[in-house]
Amino acid sequence: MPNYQIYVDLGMSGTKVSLCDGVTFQSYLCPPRVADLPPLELQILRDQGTGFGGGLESGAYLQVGDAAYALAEDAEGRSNKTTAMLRKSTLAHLRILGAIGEMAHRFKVSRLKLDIGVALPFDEYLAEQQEVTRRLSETRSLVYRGQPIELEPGVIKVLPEGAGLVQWRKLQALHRGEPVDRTYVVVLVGYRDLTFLVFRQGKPPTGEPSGTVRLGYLEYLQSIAQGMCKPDNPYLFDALLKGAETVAFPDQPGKVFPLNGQTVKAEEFYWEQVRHHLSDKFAALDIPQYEVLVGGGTVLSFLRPRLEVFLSQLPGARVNWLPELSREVETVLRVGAAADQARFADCYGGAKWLALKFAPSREAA
Amino acid sequence: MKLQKRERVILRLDAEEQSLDGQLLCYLKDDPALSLREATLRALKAFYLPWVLEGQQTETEMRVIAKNTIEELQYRAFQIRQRFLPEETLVSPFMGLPAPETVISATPVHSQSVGEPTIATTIEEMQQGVDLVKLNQILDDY
Repeated sequence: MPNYQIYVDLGMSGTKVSLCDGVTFQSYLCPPRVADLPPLELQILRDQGTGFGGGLESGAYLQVGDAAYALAEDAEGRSNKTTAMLRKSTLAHLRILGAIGEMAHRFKVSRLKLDIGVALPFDEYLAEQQEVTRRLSETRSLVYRGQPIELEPGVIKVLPEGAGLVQWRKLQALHRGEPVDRTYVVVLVGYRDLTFLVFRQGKPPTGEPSGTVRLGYLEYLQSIAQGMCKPDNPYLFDALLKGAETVAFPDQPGKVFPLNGQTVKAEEFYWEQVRHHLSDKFAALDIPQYEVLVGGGTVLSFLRPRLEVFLSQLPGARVNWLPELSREVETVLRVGAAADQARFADCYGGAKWLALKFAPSREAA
Repeated sequence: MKLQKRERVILRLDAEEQSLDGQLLCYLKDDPALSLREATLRALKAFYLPWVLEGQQTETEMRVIAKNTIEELQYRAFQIRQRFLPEETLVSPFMGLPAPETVISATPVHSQSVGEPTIATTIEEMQQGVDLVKLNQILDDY
């Protein structure tokens, strides 16, 4: 049985996953949602499967013990009364199991011996990493799309978001014969959060000035979405990320909303908040020389020109937009859209780290 | 508003159990890792989907569908090689395929051009030429 590896980036805009069968890598991206699947509904889905097609196999349905959940697209529009109250580590656990289920589904296997890497938002990493690790190590089986799957977890590693970028950069430095103990500052402009992380000599961040604030893309979406939809509407998010001029929603048939006019004022207001926060953070740094790694899908849209000017004025900072990492994501994970390459960068960096650190080497085999 | 009746399409297959067709159907029905409906539709799509959709989609969409279908077939070919011709494996199932087509992109998509270092796509290629001791030292933070 091959030694599979999975690396799951539990971002707020989506679950980004790298799947590795011991040889090559694949990507999987899905919405982050988890919703309850009550017993009655589970039974209806089961009956549909035996009666006239569809059923449990047709959607991302996860069963763990006695509980059942709908995940990703199949959770859209469902009640999540119970899951909304679940602890973050429990939700993280369910999303990871969903990704593992999808891996088994894609590779057509019912038993997986696999190493698991997880990237958690920084605050969850500090508070929940041990709980997530414990839960994963104790999970031996699950049912996904109606198919039972046996698990044999190997190495389980939980990293903070952004660590994948740093590990990838350190590997690149090793290949190039550059120093590998640089200090890195990671700036991630994510969907919900703006994250600032300091990796001193490449070591994991521990506390201040590293931290996360709710200044992600959602803050900007709040003002755009007025009179159109909810700020966290995935269709609006996708349209803006791709630079579309209009957006339409399946629940508002026949209506097309223009985006260009809405965005200018919202952009200015949002950037002012980001600039103010980052100025404080960089001012608090006590390091003379460091490299800034910039990540997150949002930066590729309107923030990049502004951030470029801002970062270029920082004394002692060398700014790295990681273009080679994007090319690797495109080639290895085969992710085509530039915005998605940026979204997958941290996940891919973590997956490459997991593969090189824990996959059996040819010499050892 | 009057509800529109949704027609369903039913496909029924039977075969002599001992025949090759019968064995194939038994395999699909009995393997716990497979769902009969999904496995059947997946195989049919890989073979026939571009023809089914020809004339219904734009040229750009057809190109994406054609590429996805080729990827699916190549991936299956890779799995067959891995299982039954192991001496021919360690080749990426996606080798030689261009990257997926971008639908809408805010910024130009990167692509590897002449003069840039070749990007390793398999773990084995990534491991080549790396000092494993040093590698373990720098990757030992978690």
